[in-house]
Amino acid sequence: MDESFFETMLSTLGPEIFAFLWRIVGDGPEAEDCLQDTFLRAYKAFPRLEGEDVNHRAWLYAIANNVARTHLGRRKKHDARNVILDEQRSDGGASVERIVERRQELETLREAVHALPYRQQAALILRKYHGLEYAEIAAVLGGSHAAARANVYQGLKRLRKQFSYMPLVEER
Amino acid sequence: MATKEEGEGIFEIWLGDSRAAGAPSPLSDALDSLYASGPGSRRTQQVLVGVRASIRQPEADRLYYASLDDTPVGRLFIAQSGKGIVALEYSESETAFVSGLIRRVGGKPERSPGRLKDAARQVMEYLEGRRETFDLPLDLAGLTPFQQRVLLAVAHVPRGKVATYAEIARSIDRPKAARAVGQALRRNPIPIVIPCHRVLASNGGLGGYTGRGGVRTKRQLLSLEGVELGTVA
Repeated sequence: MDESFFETMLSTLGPEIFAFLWRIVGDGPEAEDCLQDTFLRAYKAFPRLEGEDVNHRAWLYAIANNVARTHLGRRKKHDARNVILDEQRSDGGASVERIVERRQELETLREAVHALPYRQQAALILRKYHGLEYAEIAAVLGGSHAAARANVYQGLKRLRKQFSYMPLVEER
Repeated sequence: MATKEEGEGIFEIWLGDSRAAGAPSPLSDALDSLYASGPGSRRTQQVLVGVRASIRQPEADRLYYASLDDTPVGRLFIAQSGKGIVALEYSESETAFVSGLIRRVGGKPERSPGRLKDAARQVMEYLEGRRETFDLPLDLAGLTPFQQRVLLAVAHVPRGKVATYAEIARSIDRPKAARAVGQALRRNPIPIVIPCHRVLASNGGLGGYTGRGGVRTKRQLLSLEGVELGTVA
């Protein structure tokens, strides 16, 4: 087995796979456990992959996706997640009330994202924050290119509908 | 049902497939506030170190175990790998202990009181009040990086002192993870040696203890170490 290739894969793709798990399962120790699980599974399955013409990035995302999904299935409550808000964003000079309000909006939005059907949530995050092509998303989540695209679209549509009356518009 | 044009518009604005529209998208901005930053590179590197270590665990590492039949806290089983103590367990059943060990660490544990002699002696001396600290290498194989960090932090709580779940959480740079610390300690594979009995709830309560006898054993171990329990609920 090509250990150095696996090590390179861990160093180069590990950070984005961790970010994916962080986005999907939340900012707790669970994301760390899921990352370890992902790479242990990958390590065991890797010898079967050698010599094959595989997109290793999509392959790792697919494993991470399975791990995350299993993990979320086991988790009974979704309230244990902590959010890290990007404090630097557009809050400069805003009143305390406005900041609190903004935080509450973001919290509601986060809950809405996590309440989406899993495929929509994962497809949306993979497209928007990981730059995966629809074909790659299809390979990760299973299903067709068109289904991957539809998942992203349906997820966004649902969020937009849910937040159409919320004051998410910044005063600019 | 949205028309195709509407759908494509959403992609353009929200996904940057084409920024032609250039319209501000508050929803997209809000999603970015939640998700764009990611977990942070320092934490990522720390986590990758743990992942790397767990992958390098040689599978051929042999495991030996033994039982301590008559200790003040009842029957215990202890196991060690080539690197150190892997498990210490309050258990009546050898089968249950061995199958749990295989589940966590893998391999084929062999019964070997001879190889465990020194470790067993230290545990016994400690429980009989004739020893204050352990001089045993530990092997935290099969545990997640987070659990390992928690257990290593707890290993540094000295005899006669106690810490709270929140203090342990802070000491590993995860101040919000007090509950997760409790979870990790509940699954401490090497109790007594890794003194999870010295970690108490922040309200001064004893917290929990998974070993045989539960909190009663926790109290027993603390009093053995001279911790004044009058101050502890």
